[in-house]
Amino acid sequence: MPTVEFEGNLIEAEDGETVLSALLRHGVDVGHGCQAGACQSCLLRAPAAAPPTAQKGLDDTVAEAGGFLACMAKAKDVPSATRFDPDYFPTYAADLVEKRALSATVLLVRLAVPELPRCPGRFVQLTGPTGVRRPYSVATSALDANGLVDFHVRLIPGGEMSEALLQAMPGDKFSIQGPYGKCCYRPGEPCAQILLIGSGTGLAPLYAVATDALSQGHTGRIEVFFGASSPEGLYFLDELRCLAASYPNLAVTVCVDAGPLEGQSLGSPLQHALQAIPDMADTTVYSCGHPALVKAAQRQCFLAGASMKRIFVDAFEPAGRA
Amino acid sequence: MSSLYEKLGGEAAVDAAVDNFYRRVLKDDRICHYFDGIDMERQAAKQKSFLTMAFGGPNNYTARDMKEAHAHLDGLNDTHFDAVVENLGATLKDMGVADELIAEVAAVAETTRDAVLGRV
Ligand SMILES: Cc1cc2nc3c(=O)[nH]c(=O)nc-3n(C[C@H](O)[C@H](O)[C@H](O)COP(=O)(O)OP(=O)(O)OC[C@H]3O[C@@H](n4cnc5c(N)ncnc54)[C@H](O)[C@@H]3O)c2cc1C
Ligand code: HEM
Repeated sequence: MPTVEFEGNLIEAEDGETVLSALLRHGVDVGHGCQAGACQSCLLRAPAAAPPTAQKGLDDTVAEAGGFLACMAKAKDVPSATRFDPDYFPTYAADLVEKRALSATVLLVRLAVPELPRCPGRFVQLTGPTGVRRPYSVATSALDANGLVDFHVRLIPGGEMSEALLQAMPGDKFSIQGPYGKCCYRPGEPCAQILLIGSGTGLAPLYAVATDALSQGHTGRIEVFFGASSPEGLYFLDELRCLAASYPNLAVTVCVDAGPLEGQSLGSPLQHALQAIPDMADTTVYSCGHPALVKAAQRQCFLAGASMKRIFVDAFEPAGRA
Repeated sequence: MSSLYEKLGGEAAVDAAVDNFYRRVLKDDRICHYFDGIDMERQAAKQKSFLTMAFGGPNNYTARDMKEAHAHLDGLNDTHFDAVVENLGATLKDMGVADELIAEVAAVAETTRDAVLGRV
């Protein structure tokens, strides 16, 4: 008879029984719902032995960390398992290499994280020398031999991480946990249209996704809609212009809510995206930045025909509220 | 005899239907307010549970589970239930499913009416 070691207890299963059924039968209280692999309520973790057939539909990060759906896994395939605890993600040492102003309010933070797997566009938890911990998105697509990773940080007056970064000097020790999230380029459909909608430092992951797609030979259209409430909130415009000049399949629309300068459009980036691409049935969508914009983009792009499976978002929720 | 779920195309059919159905629900003024403000990805996963069940597929929901899953939806009544079944039918029609099978799906959904509306 197969057995599953669960949190120190040896659970005996019947032949052919699922992990979930065995646990429930032995009175182990684990969450569950449809018991058909859809609702994802019975997520557990088996670092070395998560059966791929029980990982369908899971977030990349969850699957990479050994997450699996207990209702879809046969007990004989899973010698031991635990509850899924997000703190299992690996932590990497990160040295501050450089910081530089990209605008009056946005700081480029460059860290050397040699161990970090390549993860352009996804986010990590950054812990500073003072112990403050906040999520930030990876802005670079290239990860060179020294493992240099860039972040774009909007400085919040009085913000804990903002202050820590203002004080920090090259050589200071940070650490990084992750990566998390689904905002990354997925090769396999090189001709598909990619739509990137963001505001503020939401540009960081979108820039990483765009440059990653281009470096992997993406030939489909890449449409970037980037906005801020006013022109002062914008940054990185030269880099975007450069990218558009080098790659004819990439176009950038820069939007502001008020007082547009030359070459900028009035209105929200989402509104402009929906006008430019009314039918999104074959479009892969990414949206990052202000939570209200990102949530609206997720919904409106879905209603405009984008498949739920091809909409990837990270709302930059302030700490404590997410 | 293959089951209703197999005739519809099983898991692949659920995958094919979920976007269409969820989009209809979000656009339907009669019921969309019940789906506002819920995390869309979580919700899409639950829509798949719903479709799997309505297609007569593998699930272990009990009437009690159905009652509990919908207990927090204030004022849920037969009109809302009919709207969901109507959207389900329209989705299946879009997918080219025959009317007899659509009627079978509606009949499966019907068996959950009292539980979903908290009358059991
Ligand atoms: C998945 C994810 C990815 C993220 N990626 C990035 C990124 O790439 N770049 C980036 O700059 N930020 C990003 N953020 C936001 C970031 O994690 C911090 O919330 C932000 O940098 C503020 O941290 P702080 O410690 O300086 O301020 P805190 O000490 O957390 O906040 C100080 C005060 O300011 C308020 N506040 C915080 N943020 C804002 C804001 N945007 N506007 C107005 N008031 C605010 C807080 O509510 C609080 O009252 C991301 C957030 C998430 C959830
Ligand atoms: C037609 C019969 C119906 C069936 C078979 C059904 C089935 C389901 C199932 C299986 C779930 C997931 C439960 C879980 O695992 O958490 C669910 C959730 C839900 N259902 Fe239904 N449902 C039906 C009708 C309705 C109706 C009429 C409404 C409202 C108009 C509705 C609104 C919801 C909502 C909002 C949730 C999600 C709750 C949440 O995410 O917390 N359902 N339903």
